[in-house]
Amino acid sequence: MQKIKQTTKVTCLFISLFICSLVYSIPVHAQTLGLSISPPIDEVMIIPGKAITQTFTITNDGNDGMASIYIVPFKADGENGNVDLDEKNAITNSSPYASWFSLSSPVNNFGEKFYMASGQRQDVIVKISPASDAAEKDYYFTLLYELDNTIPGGIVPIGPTNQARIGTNLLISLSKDGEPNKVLNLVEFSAPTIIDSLGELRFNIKIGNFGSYVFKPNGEIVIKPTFGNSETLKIAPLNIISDSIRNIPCLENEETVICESKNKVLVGIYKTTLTVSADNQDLPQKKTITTIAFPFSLIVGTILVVAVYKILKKPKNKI
Amino acid sequence: MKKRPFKGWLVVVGFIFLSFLSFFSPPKLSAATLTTASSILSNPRLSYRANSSAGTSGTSAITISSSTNYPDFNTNHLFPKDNICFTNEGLTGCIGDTNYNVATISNATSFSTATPLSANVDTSGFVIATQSGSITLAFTLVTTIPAGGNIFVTIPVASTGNVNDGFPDTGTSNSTNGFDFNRLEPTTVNVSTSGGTCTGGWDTPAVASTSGTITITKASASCAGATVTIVIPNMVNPSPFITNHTQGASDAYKIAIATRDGSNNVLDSTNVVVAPIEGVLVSATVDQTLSFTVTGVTADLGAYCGVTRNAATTDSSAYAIPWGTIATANSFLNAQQILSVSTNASNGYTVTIEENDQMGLNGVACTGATAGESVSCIKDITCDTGSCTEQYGGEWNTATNNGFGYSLATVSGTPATFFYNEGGSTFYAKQVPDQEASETKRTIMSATAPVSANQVYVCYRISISGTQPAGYYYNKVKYTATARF
Repeated sequence: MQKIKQTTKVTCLFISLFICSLVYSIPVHAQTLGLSISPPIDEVMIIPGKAITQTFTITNDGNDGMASIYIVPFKADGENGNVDLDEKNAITNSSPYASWFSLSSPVNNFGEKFYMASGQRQDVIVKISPASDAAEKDYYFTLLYELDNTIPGGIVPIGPTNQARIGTNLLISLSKDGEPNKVLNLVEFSAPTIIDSLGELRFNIKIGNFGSYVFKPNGEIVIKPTFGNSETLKIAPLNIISDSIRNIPCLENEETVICESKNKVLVGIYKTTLTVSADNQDLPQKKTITTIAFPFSLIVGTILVVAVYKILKKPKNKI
Repeated sequence: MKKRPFKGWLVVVGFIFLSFLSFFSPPKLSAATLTTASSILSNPRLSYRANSSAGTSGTSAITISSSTNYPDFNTNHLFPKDNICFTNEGLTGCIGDTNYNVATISNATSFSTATPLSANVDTSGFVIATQSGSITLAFTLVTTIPAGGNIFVTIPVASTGNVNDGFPDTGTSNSTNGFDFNRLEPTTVNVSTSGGTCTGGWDTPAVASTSGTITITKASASCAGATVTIVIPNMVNPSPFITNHTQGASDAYKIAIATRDGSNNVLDSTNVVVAPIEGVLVSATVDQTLSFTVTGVTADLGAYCGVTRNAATTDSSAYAIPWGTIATANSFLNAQQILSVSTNASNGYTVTIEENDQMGLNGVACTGATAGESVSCIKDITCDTGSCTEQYGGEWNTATNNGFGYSLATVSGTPATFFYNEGGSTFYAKQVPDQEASETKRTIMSATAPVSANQVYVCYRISISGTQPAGYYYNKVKYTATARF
C-alpha cells in the first residue's frame, strides 16, 4: 500500500513537471535579419538646377550587420505598381546621374559599408540636385538599404548566404513652372456584356501614362440600372508613372477593393460610365459600357424545381 | 464545527480587502493612438520673407538683404511669376495695397518685378511671397467619440507676432514658428467621415488662432470606427526658421490630433508631421514605413512546405543556409527561412529573390544558367519534369534529380506568389533567379494594401549526385523588399 502511494506521488510529480515544462518553456530567439525604411515612397517635384535634401530613416531590426546605401533607376514592372530595378545603372561616380545625388549621412559614398548595431536607427541624408539643363520630365529611382552580416573577420558558411535589401521609391519630377502637362490614356474599361443575375458585375480598368509625368487618376464609376437607383464607385488614386499602364482598383473606406457593383441581384440593362482625369488636371475622359443581367440561374433553378415536383407528383402505375 | 466560521470570516475579509483594493486602484484607462493618421499640405512650399533693402518707385529692380537674421536671405526660394507684396516692418499691410509678380531673378540678392513699383520699398520692411493652401488631416477612430465629445486639433503657430493676419510668420524653430490662420472662417473647415457609425454631422468648429487650436464637437450623436477627414483651408505656410534652416531641407511641424469625451478627457491621440520645404513645388509626405525581416528556422518540429522538420533537418539562420557536409548523394536536404513584411504604405509592397550565381566550388563562377558539376557547380534544379526555371515551377520529389531550388508556403496573410502544393504537388519548386545569367528577379511576396506581419516560409532544397566534386560550395541569395509606387 505504501509502495503504491509512493509510486502515485512520483507519477504526480512527473506529470506536474511535464506540464510546467510545457507552460513555462524557455523561448528561443532566432537570429534575424531585419530592416526598416521610412518613408517607403518619396514624391518630389523640383526645378532643374535647384537642390533638395531628403532624409530617410533606416533601422536595423535584427542582429548587428554591415549596411550600405545604393540608388538604382527603375521602371514599371507589369501593371500593378511593381518596380523593375536597373541595377546595371546604379548610381556610381561614373553614371550619368552621378551629379544628381550626394550622400551626406551616414557615409559619403553610395555602396560604402557602415556598421549598424542591432536596434540602431540611422538617418540617411540624400541631396538631390538635378542638372539645370536636365530635360523636364520624370526620373524614377529606388534608394536601397542593404544589410548583411559580412562583418570583417566573419566566416563564410557552406551553402547560400543571405542579404536583404529594402527600398524607397523616389519619383522625381523636373518642372520649371510646377504645372507639367499630364497625359492620361484610358486603355481599358470593361465588364462582361451578359451576366447572370446572381453573378458579379465587375469592372476592369487599365490606365496608361504615355506622357512624361506621374499622375494619380481621379474619377468615378457610375452604374445606372434599368430599375432602381444608380451606384457610384470611386477609383483608387494610385500613381501611374510615365511609360506604363496600371490596373486601377476602386477605393472604399481608404482601402483598395475590386471595382464591382454592391448589388447582390442584378436584373436588366446596366449602363456604366467611367469618368477619369489625371490629377484633376485635364478634361475628364469618359467611357460608357453596357451589361445585361439575365436571371439564367433563377430560370434554370425554377425549371429544375418544377421538373422535380412533377416527377414526384407523377401518379405511380398500379400493378 | 469550529473551522467553518473561521473559513467564512476569511472569505468575508478577503472580499472586503479586494473591494478596497479595487476602489483605491481603479483600472487605468489609457488613450490609444488614432490609426492610419496622415496629413497633406496642398501647397507644401515654405512662404518667402526677406528684408527689402532697396527698391524705388517707378523701377522694377529689387534688392534684398543677405543678412541671415531674416528667414530668407537670398533669392534661391523665389521664382518667376511668384506673387509678392512689400510690407513695412510692422506688417500692417501691403504698401500701396499693391501686389506684384516676380519677372526675373537677377542674382542671389536681386530680382525684378513684372510691373514697376508704385512706391518705394520700406528698407526695414519685407518682401513676402505668401504660400497658402489647405491642410488635410485624416485618421481612423479607435475609441468611440460619445455625443458631446470632440476632435481637438492643435496646429503650431508662432510664439510672437500676429498669427492671424495672412502674412507668413517666422521664428527660430518649430516651437517658435508655425502656420498663420489667415482669418480662418470656422464654417470653411470641412469635416467628413466614411465608414463606421457616425451620423448627425459635426458642429461648426471653434477656432482659436492664438493657441492654434480647432475644436470640432459632435453634439448630436456618437461616432465610432469612422475615418475622419478634416480639411482646413487657406492656411499660410510659415517662412523658413531664422538661422536654423538648411535651404533645400524641410522644416518639420507636428500637428496634434486628439479625440475627447464631453469632459475633454483624451480618448485617442496622435501627432502627424507636415514638412513644408522650399525649392520643391509639390510634395506629399505621409509618415510611412516598410519593414522586412528574415528569420532562420532551427526548431526540430513542425511542417514547412510539406516537409516535417526533425533533428536531421538543416538549421538555417537569418544570414545563411548552412548545408554543412552533404554526406549522402541523391537525397534531399531541406532548410527554411521565414520572411515577414509589415508596411502602412497604401499601395502595399513586393519582395523579390535572386542569387548572384549558382552555387560554385569555393565560389567559382558558374557561367550560364545551366552550369553543373562538370564545372564544379551545383546546378539550379530543373525539377522532376526537367523543365522548371526561375519563372516556371514544377514538382520536385525525386532526389536523383539533383540541384538547388526553393518553394513557398504562406504563414499569415496571402503574400506568397506560388505554393509548394500547387496543383497537388508534393514540393513545387522553382530556381532562384541567377543574376550571373541575367535572369529576371522573381517576386515571392506581394500585397496591394497596408499589411501587418505578412509572412511566408521560403523552403530551400538541395540534392547532389555521387559524382559531385567535393569541396565548399556557396553563393549569395538576396531578398529585396520595395513598396509599390
